[in-house]
Amino acid sequence: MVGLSRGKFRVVLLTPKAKLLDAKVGSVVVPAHDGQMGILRNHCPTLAALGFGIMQVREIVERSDAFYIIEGGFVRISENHVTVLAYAVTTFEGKDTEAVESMISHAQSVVAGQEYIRSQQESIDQRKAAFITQMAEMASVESPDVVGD
Amino acid sequence: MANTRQILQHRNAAANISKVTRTMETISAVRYRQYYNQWAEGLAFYDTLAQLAYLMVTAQTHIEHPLLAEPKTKSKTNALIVIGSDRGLCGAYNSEVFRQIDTHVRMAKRFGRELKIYAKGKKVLGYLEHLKIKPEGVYEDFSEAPSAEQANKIGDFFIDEYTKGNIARLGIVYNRFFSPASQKAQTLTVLPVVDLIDDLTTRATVIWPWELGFDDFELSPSPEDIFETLAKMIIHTSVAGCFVEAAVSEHLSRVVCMRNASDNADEMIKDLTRDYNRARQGQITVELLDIVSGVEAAKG
Repeated sequence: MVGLSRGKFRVVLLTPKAKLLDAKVGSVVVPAHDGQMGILRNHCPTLAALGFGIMQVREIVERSDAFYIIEGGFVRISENHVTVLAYAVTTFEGKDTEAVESMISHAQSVVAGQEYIRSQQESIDQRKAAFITQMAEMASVESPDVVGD
Repeated sequence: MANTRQILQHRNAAANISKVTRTMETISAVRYRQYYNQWAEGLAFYDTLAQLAYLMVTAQTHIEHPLLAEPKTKSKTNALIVIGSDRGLCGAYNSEVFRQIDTHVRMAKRFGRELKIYAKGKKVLGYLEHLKIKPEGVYEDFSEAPSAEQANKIGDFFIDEYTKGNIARLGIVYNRFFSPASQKAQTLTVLPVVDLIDDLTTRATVIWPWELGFDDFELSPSPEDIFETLAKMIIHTSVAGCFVEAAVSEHLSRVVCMRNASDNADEMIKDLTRDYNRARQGQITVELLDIVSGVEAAKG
């Protein structure tokens, strides 16, 4: 697979409220409706519906990897432009360490089934909580300073 | 000429009004910024959605879907979401919406259709009462722009009504925000969805930038499923987008109006001050004349 691994391509992540990411990246994994879908440069033109899961963006030019929890949407790949349309996105990007930590601890308590204790907080469902903890692990492996204990 | 005290009262009133209008201008300017940013940030999303929709409708492969097909039972009902403002003092903002309502009512009468109106905004409710039309529904659970869930709920409700054959069309009457220099009331046809895609794709920004056509794409899942998700997403986004655009237009229109009102009040204050000074001067002159002529009379 000569020439496939090193090239970068453009990824744009759009939500109705904001453009969350517009960058040159090395690889993207999106949660398609039927499973994870890895995208590298020179992917064939594809239109796919997205499901609920984590989108991983790696080898971004001049910054650390980014992760987003996506709740349905679309991905369009054409001519090395990847456009992800997502309705609801949860991410650690752009949040300060404190907010991220409280989000993670809340998610962990939900996963552990202690949600009723923290009923004053905005409730999130079990699956999303699981994704948040998973995303925290991914992010901490890549860049410990983002999560930091 | 009015006496000085009257002029003074007048001037104070004008000054108070200008204070109020200036405050309203500031508040609306801030809100306008917020909604404008929201609107501007969302543009890329709409455009990409519209590009996808454009790909779908220009496809060579035939896509079968209830939202694309002609409904089996022709309903004689049109639904209309009317978005106006809760408060006045925003110029022609509401009256333009009212004019659109008039047109729809007249057209419905002419073509023998029933009109179901879903209203947003107290001013709209007031106008409907004036027309003696009872609104089918009122959106009161959000103040200006609905949250994503609320917009989805509204969208799903009408999709359901449409697929059941209860309504034949859904239009949204709102003030579209073209640019900070131009806003106009218009009706966006949301259902049938083909009409909506027509409207979206004729916007200049939405020309498909690549040479690839729909059939060059690898699809997952089937075209029908993709279309279903896409159509729903377009409807949801359009509903939410209309409310946001209406809010942007409302606040901008209020900013412009209030700025004019403040300017007018300032001018009025200037004029009144001049009048007041002149009247005061006149009064002094009269008094002086009185004294002088009194002295003259005493001398003589």
